[in-house]
Amino acid sequence: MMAVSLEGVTKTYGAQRALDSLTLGLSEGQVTGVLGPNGAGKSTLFKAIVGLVRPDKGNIKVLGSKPSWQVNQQVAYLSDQCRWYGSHTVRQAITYAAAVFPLFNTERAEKLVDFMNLDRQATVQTLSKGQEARLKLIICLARDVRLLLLDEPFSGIDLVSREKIIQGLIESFAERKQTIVISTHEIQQAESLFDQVIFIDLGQVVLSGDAETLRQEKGSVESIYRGLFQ
Amino acid sequence: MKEFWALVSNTRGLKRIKKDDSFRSTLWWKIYVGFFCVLAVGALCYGIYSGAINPSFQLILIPLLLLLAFIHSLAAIKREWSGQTASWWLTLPYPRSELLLAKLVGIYIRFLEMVVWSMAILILIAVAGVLLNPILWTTQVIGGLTVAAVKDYLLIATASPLVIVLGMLLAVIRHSRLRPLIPPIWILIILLISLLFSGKAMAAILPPSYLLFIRIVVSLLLSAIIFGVTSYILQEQTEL
Amino acid sequence: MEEIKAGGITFTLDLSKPLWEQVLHQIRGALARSDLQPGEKIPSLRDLAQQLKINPNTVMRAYQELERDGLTETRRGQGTFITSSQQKISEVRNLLAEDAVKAFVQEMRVLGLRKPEADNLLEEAKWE
Repeated sequence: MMAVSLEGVTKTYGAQRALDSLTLGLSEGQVTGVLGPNGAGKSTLFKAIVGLVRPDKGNIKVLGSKPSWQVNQQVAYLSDQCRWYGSHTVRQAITYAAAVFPLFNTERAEKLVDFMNLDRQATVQTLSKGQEARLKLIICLARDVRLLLLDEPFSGIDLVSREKIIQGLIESFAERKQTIVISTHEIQQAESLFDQVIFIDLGQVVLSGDAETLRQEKGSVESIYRGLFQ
Repeated sequence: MKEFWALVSNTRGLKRIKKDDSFRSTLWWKIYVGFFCVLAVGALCYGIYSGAINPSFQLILIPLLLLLAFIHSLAAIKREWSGQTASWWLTLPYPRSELLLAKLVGIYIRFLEMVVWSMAILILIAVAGVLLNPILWTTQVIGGLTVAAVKDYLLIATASPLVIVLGMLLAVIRHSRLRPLIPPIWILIILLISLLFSGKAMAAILPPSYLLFIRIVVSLLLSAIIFGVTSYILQEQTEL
Repeated sequence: MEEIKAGGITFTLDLSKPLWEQVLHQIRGALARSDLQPGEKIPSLRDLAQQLKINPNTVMRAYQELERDGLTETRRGQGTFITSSQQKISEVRNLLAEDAVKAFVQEMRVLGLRKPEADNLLEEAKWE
């Protein structure tokens, strides 16, 4: 079962093809790693799935429907270039998220806030980059949605925050059937999380498959990445 | 429903992110600001006393409110992009028209707060005027001022929806594919505003009491249309 | 990846090979070496995934294989336990011993040694 499927999806920005007749499927209930060099089209892929970007050509199906705000009830998307509202305190952030996101599990959010060691009184503005990253992830993980899209969740984050985020992800994934899609450059740290891996470059799929099978045939995901893109 | 009011309150409550807030919360800063306020009030009182600030000066403040409303409206939308929260906002599971409506309500409530503040300031100035410079600030003068103020506030009531919605339109266009259209839109805005404010042509045809009513209706109608256009642009022509 | 101790077992995971197999082998090895006692409780799927920082599905695959081989049993609501069957444990031990012998023989052949020479080496080998 495919949670997300793309068929011949093309998106051009001026002279550049961000997505070039891209065809791929993201399996439901699995963790998929989307890997590729900068400018490969990973972020554009995510944005196309949540409807922030409209492809010029091709079909996208998200949980059986076209991308729309209705489908987004079941999608949690963490952009690679987003911040949270700086004037919120951590507590206000959770309250706001609980009010605007349907399927938000406040109890889980509170547990995650404790687990991630965040001070509820602190304003988001005063948080470090790693702490803010943890908060953003909490807001995504606390939603009981079927599809979780994380665009570079580890980028520029300190080691401790990264480990906390990974732990939070494993916990969340173990608890319920969810489709998780992660793009990252921290391959060595993240690859043990992947069920499936898709390598993308220049808007096309270069290689994809089950992570363990790829390991059997070719070695670690990181070495495969190096082999493809260096 | 509760998400709508959460969105409204978020629009109202969001503050511009100041780069370095730590200084502003220190005691020194508070002392400076306090000192400056005392100085400003002192200068104001002196101005009233000496007649430098005469009664009609304050009426400039009221049209200023419209400018503030416009700027605030622009800023409230722009903030989602400058604060890098647009990806959260635009992927919320609600139609974009609803997202914009929540912004509009939030902006309007803020605007009403500004109006109330301006009224309080005007009343205070008038009181100060009567106390400090009763020669200039006679009951007759104050009466005339009140009438003029009421007229101006009514004008603002009619114009504010339009002004606010135009602010939102501009901000949305700025972040959409239609960005190159901004200069002609500005011309359109100027035309619209002058149309609304040109009472002379209309006053020749209709009695004054109708004029206000017509103005309000036209303003609301135009505002609704512009809001619809803004929604469309945010929905169809905006990418992140 | 570095060594991780979880539930009485020391795991060393190599990312260049399938992870589920390594989890399986290393639990089996711990069992055969008596690092795990019969009837002992092993970490839940979730806990082990957390400690090893790997996908729970990977752990699940290993656990399913262990269950299939009869080396573990899952009791609903209580967790996963090593079998108390001494026979099963002996079987695993023998299996791993055989693998070790096969590897030894292979290594001898690669070095160019024959069975008599290998036997001599074994005779002289120290067991303490």
